[in-house]
Amino acid sequence: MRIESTLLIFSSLLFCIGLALLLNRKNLVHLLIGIELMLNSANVNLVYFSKIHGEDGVLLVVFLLLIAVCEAAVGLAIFLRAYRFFQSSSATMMKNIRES
Amino acid sequence: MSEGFLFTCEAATLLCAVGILFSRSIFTSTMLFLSSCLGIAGIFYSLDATYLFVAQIAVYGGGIVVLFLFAIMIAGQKEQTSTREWSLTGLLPPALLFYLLISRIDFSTTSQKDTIAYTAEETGKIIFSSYLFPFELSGILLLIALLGAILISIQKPESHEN
Amino acid sequence: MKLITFIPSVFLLVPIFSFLAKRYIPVLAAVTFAASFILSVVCWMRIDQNPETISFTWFRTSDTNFYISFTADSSSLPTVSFVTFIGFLVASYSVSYFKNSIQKTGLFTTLALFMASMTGLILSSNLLFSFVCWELVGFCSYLLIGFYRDEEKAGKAATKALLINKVGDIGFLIALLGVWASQGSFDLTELAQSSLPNEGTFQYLIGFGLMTAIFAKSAQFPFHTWLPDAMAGPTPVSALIHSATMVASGIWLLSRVHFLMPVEVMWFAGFCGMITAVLGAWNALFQNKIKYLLAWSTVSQLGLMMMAAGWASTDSAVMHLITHGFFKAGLFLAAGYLLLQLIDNPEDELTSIGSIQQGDRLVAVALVIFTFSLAGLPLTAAFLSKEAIAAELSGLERISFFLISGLTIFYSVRLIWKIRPFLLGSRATIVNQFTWPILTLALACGWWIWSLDPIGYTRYFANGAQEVHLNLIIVASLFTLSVAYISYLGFKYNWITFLGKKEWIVNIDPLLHLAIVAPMVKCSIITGKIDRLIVDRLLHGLAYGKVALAHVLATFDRYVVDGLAELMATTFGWLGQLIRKATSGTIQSYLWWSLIALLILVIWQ
Repeated sequence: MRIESTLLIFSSLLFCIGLALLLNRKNLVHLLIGIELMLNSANVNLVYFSKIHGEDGVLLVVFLLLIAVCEAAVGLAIFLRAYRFFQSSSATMMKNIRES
Repeated sequence: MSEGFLFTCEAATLLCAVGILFSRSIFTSTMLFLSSCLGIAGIFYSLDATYLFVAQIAVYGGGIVVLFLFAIMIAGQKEQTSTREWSLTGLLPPALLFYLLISRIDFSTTSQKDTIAYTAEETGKIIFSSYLFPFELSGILLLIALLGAILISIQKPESHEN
Repeated sequence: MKLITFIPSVFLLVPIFSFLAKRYIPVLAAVTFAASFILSVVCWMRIDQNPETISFTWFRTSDTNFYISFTADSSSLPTVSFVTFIGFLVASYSVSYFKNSIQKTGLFTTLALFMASMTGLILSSNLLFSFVCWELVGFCSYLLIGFYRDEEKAGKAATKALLINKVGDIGFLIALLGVWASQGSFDLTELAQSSLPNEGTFQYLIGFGLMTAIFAKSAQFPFHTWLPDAMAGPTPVSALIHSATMVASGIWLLSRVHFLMPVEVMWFAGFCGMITAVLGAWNALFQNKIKYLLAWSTVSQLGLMMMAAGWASTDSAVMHLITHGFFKAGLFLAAGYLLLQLIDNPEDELTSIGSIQQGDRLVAVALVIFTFSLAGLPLTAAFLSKEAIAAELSGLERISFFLISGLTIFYSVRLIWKIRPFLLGSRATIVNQFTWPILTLALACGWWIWSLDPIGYTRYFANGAQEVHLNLIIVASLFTLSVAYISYLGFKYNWITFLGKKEWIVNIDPLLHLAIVAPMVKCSIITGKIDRLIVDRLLHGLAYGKVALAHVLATFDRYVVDGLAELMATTFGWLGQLIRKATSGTIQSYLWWSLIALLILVIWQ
C-alpha cells in the first residue's frame, strides 16, 4: 500500500491548502471554496481509513456529502445576504454591522 | 495501473488546489475547484468507493459548483486583483500545521484486514438496512437547508431596487 | 512659739486682699504692719534665754528635705520688732503721703511683700530660705525705686539697683553651693554647732560669696553706686528701705553667718567698710539736695557698720544698725515732709528748705535731734552705739573710726547750718499724720533705748552686764563736741569755701562703667553678631538646603515615580491595543487567531 499511504500526506496538504485559502483570500466565495476543500480532504481521509481498517467510514462520507451540499447552499445564501448588506463581497469589508 | 491513476489524481487535485490559491479571478478559482473535485472523485474510484465516485461528481460538479457560479454571477464579480492576495506570513501557519500533521503520522502500521470494498452495491445495501433512519433524516435535512437558503436569500419586493 | 510664723505672714494679707477698693488698701496695710509689730513685741516679751526654732518642710527631693526655719532668740526678735516698728511708722506716714496717688494699691502691696520678706529674712535660720527672702527684698526694692513710672531716671536707677544686687546674689548662690558641698545642710543652728568649715577652698568660697552678697546689698565700696541713685524713688520708700531695713539686712546676715567667714575675709570687710565710710562722708559734704545728702550719709554709716562688723564685733554693728535706722528713717520722713512744702524742684534744696517760713517747730526739733544722732553727740543713742564699736577697736582702726566720725559731724553741722533759717523761724506746732511718726522716731533717738544712764550701754544681746568705758566716753565726748563747735564756727565765719566745688565728689560710676558695663555690652554685641551672621546664616542655609532638596525630590517624584506609573499605564494601554486587534471584526482575523491557537495547542501536546 505504498501509494495509498501518500493519501494521508495528500489529505493533510489539501487541508492546509484549504486553510491557506481561508486565511489569505479576500473574496467570500474563495473562502467557501476553501471550506469545501477542507471538507473534501476530510472525506478522503475517512475513505482511506475505512479502506484500511474496515469501518463504515464510507457511509459517513455519504452523509458528509449531503451535509456539504446543505452547508454550501446555506452558505451561499448567507453570502448573498451579506453582499446585499455590506455592498461588497470582500471579507475585509464585512466588519461593522451597522444599523440598517 | 491503479497506482498510477491514484497518483495522477492526487497530483491533479493538489495542483488545482494550489492554483486556486494563486488565481486572480474568481472564475478561475471555481473552475479549478471543479477540477479538484473531479480529482477527488478519481481518488474515490481508485479506493473502490464507486458510489462516492459518482456521488462526488454529481454533487460537487453538478450542484455546488453551479451554485457557486450562480452566486458569483449575482454578487461575486469584481475586476481582477492586480496585487496578490497571499503573502508569506499568510502561508506560514498552514505550512506549519501541515508539518505538524505530517510529523504525527505513523506510517508503520498497516493492517491487512479483510475489508469489504464499499462498492455501490454494498453501499446501497447498508444504507437501506442499517442506516435507513439517517438516510431519511438527511432527506429532511436537505429540505430544511433548501427552505433555509430560500429564506435567507429572499428579498422583499419593495427593497429590491432594480 | 508658733506665733513667730505670723510675723512675716500677716503681711501677705495685703496682696491677697489687693482686689479691694483703693480706699481700704492703705488702711489694711497699716493695720497689718501694726499687727506684725505687736506680734513681734509679744514674742519678744515671751521669750526666755533659750532660742527656739520652728521648721516647716518646704519641699523634698528624693533623699533630702529642705526647710523653712524661723528662729526666735534674743537677737532676732528685737531686730524684727525694730523693723516692724519702723515699717509701721512709715506705713502710716505713707497713707497720707500717697493719698492722691493712682498707684496706691501697687505701692502698699509691694511694701507688704517687702516687709514679709524682710521679716522672714531676719527670722530665718535656714540659708536657703534666707536666700529666697534676700532675692525678694531686692526685687521689691527694684519695684519701689521705679515707682514713678513716668520718670526715666527712676527706671534706670531701679535697674541699676537690681543688677548690682544680682551680682551679690550670684555670690550668695555660690556660697550656698559651697555650704551644701562642705556641710550638707543649710540650717544655721546645725552649721553653728558643727565644726567650722575649715577646709581651705570652701571656706574662702563661702566667705567671698557671702561677702559679695553683703557688699552689694549694703552698698559697700565698690557696689555702693546704686544707693544714691535709688533716691529717685518716693521718700517713704527711701525711709524704710534704703536707710533702715533693707540695706541693714546685709549687716544682719553677716551677724548670723559670721562663724562661716575666715578671719581674713572679715578683716577685709572691715577695711572695705572703712573706705566706704570715708567715701560716703566725703561725698555727703558736697550735696545740696537733701535726699542725696542723706543717701551718701547712709553709705557712710553702712561703711561704719561694716567696719564695726569686720574689725570690732557683729554685735556692735547690729547695735549701730538699730540706732541708725531710727534717726535715718526720721531724717528721711522729715525731709519728705519738708520737700512737700517746697513749691518747685530747686537745685539747692537746702537753701530752699531754709527759706521755709513759719515751719513746723516740732519737725524742726526732731530734725535737730536726728542730726545730733547722726553726728553721734553725747546723750544720744548713737553715741552709745558708737562707743560700743570704738571700744573694740584699737590702734589705727580706732583712729580711722574717729576720722570718720569727724567727717560725719562735719556734714551734719553743714546740714543744720544750711537749714538754720527754717529751724529758727519755725513757729507752728502741727501734729498730723505726717508729723507723729517723725516725732515718735525722735523719741527713739535718745540714750534710753540702750540703757538707763547715758554713759554706759547694755549690750545688744541683752547679756545684762552694763559696760562702761569711761576713758573712751570722755575722749569721745570731747572729740565730738569740739569738732562740732569748730565746724559751726567754720560755717559761721565762712572758713570753708571748697564745698561749693562739685568736682571734688568722688564718683566711681564711670570707672565701673568702663570696667564692667562696657565690656559686657561689647560681649553682647559680639554674640549678637555671631548669632546673626553665623547662626542665622546656618539656619538660612539649612532652610535653603531643605528647599533645594524638596525641589530635587519633586523632580524625582515627577519624573521617576510618575514616569514609572505612566510607563505601566502605557504598557497596559499598548497591550490593550494589541489585544484589541484580535477583535477587529473581520472573519479572517478570527480565523488567524484560532489557527494560531490550534497550532500552539498542537505544538504543546
